[in-house]
Amino acid sequence: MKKIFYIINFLFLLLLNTPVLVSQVVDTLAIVQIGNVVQIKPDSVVFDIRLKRNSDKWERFANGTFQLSLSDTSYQINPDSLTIDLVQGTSEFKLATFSGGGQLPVTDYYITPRVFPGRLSITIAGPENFNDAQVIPPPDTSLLIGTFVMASKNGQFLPKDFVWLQPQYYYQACAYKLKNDSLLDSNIVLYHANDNVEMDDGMSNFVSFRIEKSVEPEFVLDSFVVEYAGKKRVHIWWVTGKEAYNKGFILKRALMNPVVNDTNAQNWQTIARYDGPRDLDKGLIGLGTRIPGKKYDYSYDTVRFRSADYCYRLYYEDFNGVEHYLATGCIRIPNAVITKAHAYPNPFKDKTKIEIFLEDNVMLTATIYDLKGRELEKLRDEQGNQINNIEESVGKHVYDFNASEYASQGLYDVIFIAYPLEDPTIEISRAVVKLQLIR
Amino acid sequence: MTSLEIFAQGAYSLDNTGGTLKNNGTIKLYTGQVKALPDTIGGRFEFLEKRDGNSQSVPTIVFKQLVLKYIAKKFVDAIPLSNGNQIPLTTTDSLIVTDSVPFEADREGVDAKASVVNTSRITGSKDVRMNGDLSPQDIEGAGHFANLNIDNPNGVDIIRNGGFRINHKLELTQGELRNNTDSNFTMADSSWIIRHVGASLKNEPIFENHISVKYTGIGSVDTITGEIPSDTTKLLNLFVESTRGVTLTKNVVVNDTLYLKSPIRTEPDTSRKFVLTLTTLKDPVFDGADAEIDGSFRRTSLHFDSVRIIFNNPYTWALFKDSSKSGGMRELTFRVKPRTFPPIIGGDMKVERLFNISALDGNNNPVVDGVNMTLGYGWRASKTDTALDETKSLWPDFDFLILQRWYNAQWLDMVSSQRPTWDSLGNWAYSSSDSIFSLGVYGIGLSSNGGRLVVAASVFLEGPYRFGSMSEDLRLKNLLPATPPNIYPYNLDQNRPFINIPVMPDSVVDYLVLEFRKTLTDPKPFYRTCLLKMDGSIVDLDGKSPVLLAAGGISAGDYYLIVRHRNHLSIATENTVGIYPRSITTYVDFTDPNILLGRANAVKPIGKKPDGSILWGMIAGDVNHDGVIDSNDQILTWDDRDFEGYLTRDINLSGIINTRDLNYSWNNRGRTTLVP
Repeated sequence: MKKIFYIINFLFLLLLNTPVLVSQVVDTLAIVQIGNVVQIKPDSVVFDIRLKRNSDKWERFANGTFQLSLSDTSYQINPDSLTIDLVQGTSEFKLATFSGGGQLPVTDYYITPRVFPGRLSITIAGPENFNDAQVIPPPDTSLLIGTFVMASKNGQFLPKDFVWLQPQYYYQACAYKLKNDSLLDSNIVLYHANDNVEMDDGMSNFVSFRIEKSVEPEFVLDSFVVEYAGKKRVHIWWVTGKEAYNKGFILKRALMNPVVNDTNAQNWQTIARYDGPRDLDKGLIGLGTRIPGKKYDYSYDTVRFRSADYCYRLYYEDFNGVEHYLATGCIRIPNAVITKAHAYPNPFKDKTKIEIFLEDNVMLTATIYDLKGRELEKLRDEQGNQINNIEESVGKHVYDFNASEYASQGLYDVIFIAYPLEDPTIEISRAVVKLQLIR
Repeated sequence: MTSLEIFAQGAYSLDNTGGTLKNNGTIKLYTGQVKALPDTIGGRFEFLEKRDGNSQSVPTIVFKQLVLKYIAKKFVDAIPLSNGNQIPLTTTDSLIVTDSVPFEADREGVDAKASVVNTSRITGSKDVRMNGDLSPQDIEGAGHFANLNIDNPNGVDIIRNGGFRINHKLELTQGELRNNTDSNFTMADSSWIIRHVGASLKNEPIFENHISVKYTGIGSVDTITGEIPSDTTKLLNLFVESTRGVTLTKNVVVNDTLYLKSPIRTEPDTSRKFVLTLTTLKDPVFDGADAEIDGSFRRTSLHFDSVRIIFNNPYTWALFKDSSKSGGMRELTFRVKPRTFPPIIGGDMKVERLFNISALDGNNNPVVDGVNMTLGYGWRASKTDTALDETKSLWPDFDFLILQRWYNAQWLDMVSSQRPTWDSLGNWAYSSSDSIFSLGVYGIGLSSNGGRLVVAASVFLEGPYRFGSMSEDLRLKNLLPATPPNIYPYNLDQNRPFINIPVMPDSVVDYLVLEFRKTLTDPKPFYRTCLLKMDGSIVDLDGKSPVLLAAGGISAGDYYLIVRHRNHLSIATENTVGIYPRSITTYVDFTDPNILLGRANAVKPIGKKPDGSILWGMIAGDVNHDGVIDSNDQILTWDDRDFEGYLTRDINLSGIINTRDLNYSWNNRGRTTLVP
């Protein structure tokens, strides 16, 4: 408990108008603190108000009025253009569920943040009886009255530096609940049990109203992935861990020169912005300032050339319109439809698996030839159907090949012929898988 | 030419166009019209058309003798003179209207400079004006005049039995119209006599029935003559518009409208006192700052319906709630004498105006007691016009002037007298007092106790109490209104709207209201709005003086004192407090619970005095002033949270409503006022 000794010289005007020199001990009974001020959006600021008990003169909180303003006096606080709300679920007080006027809480608390010209007012009504009142933990801990969000109604950029309104005795109030009668003199009761006693009595007891310096939020990018999705499409996704002042993301792309592959030297072209006109762009809108972040998915960027390297850069733009670089990712666009074809095991005894990877949807034919070039049969798919000019979708496919018991030991060729269905730049794509049967 | 008789037919029987016409004899125009007569024509000119249905126009020129005869209509035709001027038809010797001729003076009037003989009928809206100025004129004949105007400083004599009749208006502009019982005239029913200052009517004419009289002109009419009928039922309307009024020299009874632009004096001198009586329910109309009835004014049609019955001036009136309060009176007379000190002991210390009120009942017995009326009284009050002013030396105590009745050789205070109001533009002061139970002589003066009742008091309010005194936050924030708003408890004080404190004195906490009750359950207490200062002193609206109680609102006596504030529980003294004019001001310390009704239960401890004793204050939180502090007060306070201003729910008088205010009404839950 902090006690400060003051000498207060005041005129006691009651009867004699005689100045009386009185020594008073000023005790700070509580600390009301604004903290965690975060500008989550240009037009929205969240902040916490916490109550800390700083004295053993009281134990339970009764009610209070907390009024604040903004240090930037050029911003006019006005109920027509500003709102303030309690973020639901953030208060550590047991809140009443009613709303509106005409009633006061009986056993719970009721918090009403409101905007008035030049000020924000947060009023907390409390329960009637001591037993229902919230115990404030002993010194060095505090209770969160609530997290509040101040938001502009017209999208105006909001300052975030708060000040407590002065004079304190006029604007602020903070009362505790009395358990037992309090005597002014012998047999003279000043307060009764369950009365609400102002902690700031203007003389010896005081409430300290403070503003905690808030930690600047940081931006954390957990991952940034660029991957080929077929059909010359690139799938880009990333995950943020924290976001700070993030209005949204910007994606840029560069085609790598076959000779010069220094990504910094390329001509970067913006392919998407959070404030772009497409629905796709809206997925790039940031969270402002928030923990945790989230996964963003950009599907897809379609490129022009195959057999080329494309690089992508991710930026975010802050509330002031400044771009911040986050990461770079590159991808090579394959030059074939069948980009992979192999068998395992190989050599094999009775059966083997043949795996291919299709870069596009195709019409596929897979024919098995013997060493003499004779066509033996068509390879069969998972359902046992012959792979003979059938539609197969992009991606990995695995086919089983079972050698018949009469098949001779030796080499066989499986020839895949794929006709792309949607990519007119490629007429046909082939792949040969050589199999060696051992018996 | 001795005689010219014209019988010719045609548009014009006498066309003088381009010619010259001189006449020393008689021109008789039996038929037809005249044209281009000279501006003045001598001799005798007769218009004699006889055929009914024909008419002859008489040009507006100067005739010497003009004769109009026979049944065909003759009318005044407004024809300009040769110089373009327009004059009335003028006769310099005689105007003779006879032998049943209908003569119409509608387009222009007739100026008769000498004799007028009318045995027929003169109609029209214009006057026949007898306005010779060298000698008296005569008028004779039994004809009719629509409007006759006497405008000759030498007067007009009615001769040869007179007998004429005035149907609409007799205007006495100048000189005397001399009539007598042998040679008189008749005023038709509902006709008017308009008498100017400087003119008169020697005797009463024959009043056919109702007559109305108007006095006008610059100056005063000092003698009432024949225009006012002796028969009290016949004067219908009396209008007094002469600039300096009228002095009645006989009793006058008005039976319909009494209208004054200037005074009516009913007492020409100390030996002659007349009465002006108004018999109708219509109040007199006072249409001028100086319009009033100086003297006795009786009203014989009274109403007992809580509506004022106006007497000698707009501010002098009687009001009866119902007939049971009238004492059975049938007529009520006010004798009001301006610029007259009550001629009795101490009268010279009063306002210079005397009131004597008397009444008769149905049996013509005097009514003195047994009435219960409200009396309005006014007097002339000017700080610049000393001749007019009747307040005289009492100006410094103007607010304390009350109505007093001379009874049993002493002046009795009419304790219900209201604080007077001064109309500085009209130079009138006025007030009223209810509970007037007796008639008689009244004056306006200071209470026999000296007039000034003063009370000093102290009280503390719990709400604004902090740091050993009370806060003046409202004053520092300029929130204290110059006039207390029309809310409890200020609206209990009838003088609230007249309070105006443009610059609030230092150290003022708030307004509050002191209430004075003769008994604890006095149904008609007196309320006085005061100022409360930081040190607890209750002071007058000047912010420094003890509370001056206008004698017009309260009389000396013993009172229970009650303190009312807009959001604190009221407190009362347990015993009466003597409020008397004393050299030492009565002091009431409401911070001492031992003098309070309910003692310490009426207040609460709010701190300690410098000497260590307990400081007791009024209990805060009764924002709906129902005398109980309960959840209603708390909810009302909560609902108004965050608002700033001069607000009833601002219990600690800081200028803003917040949970501090709510906590007062919560902490004082269940407390009630002990004031009955």
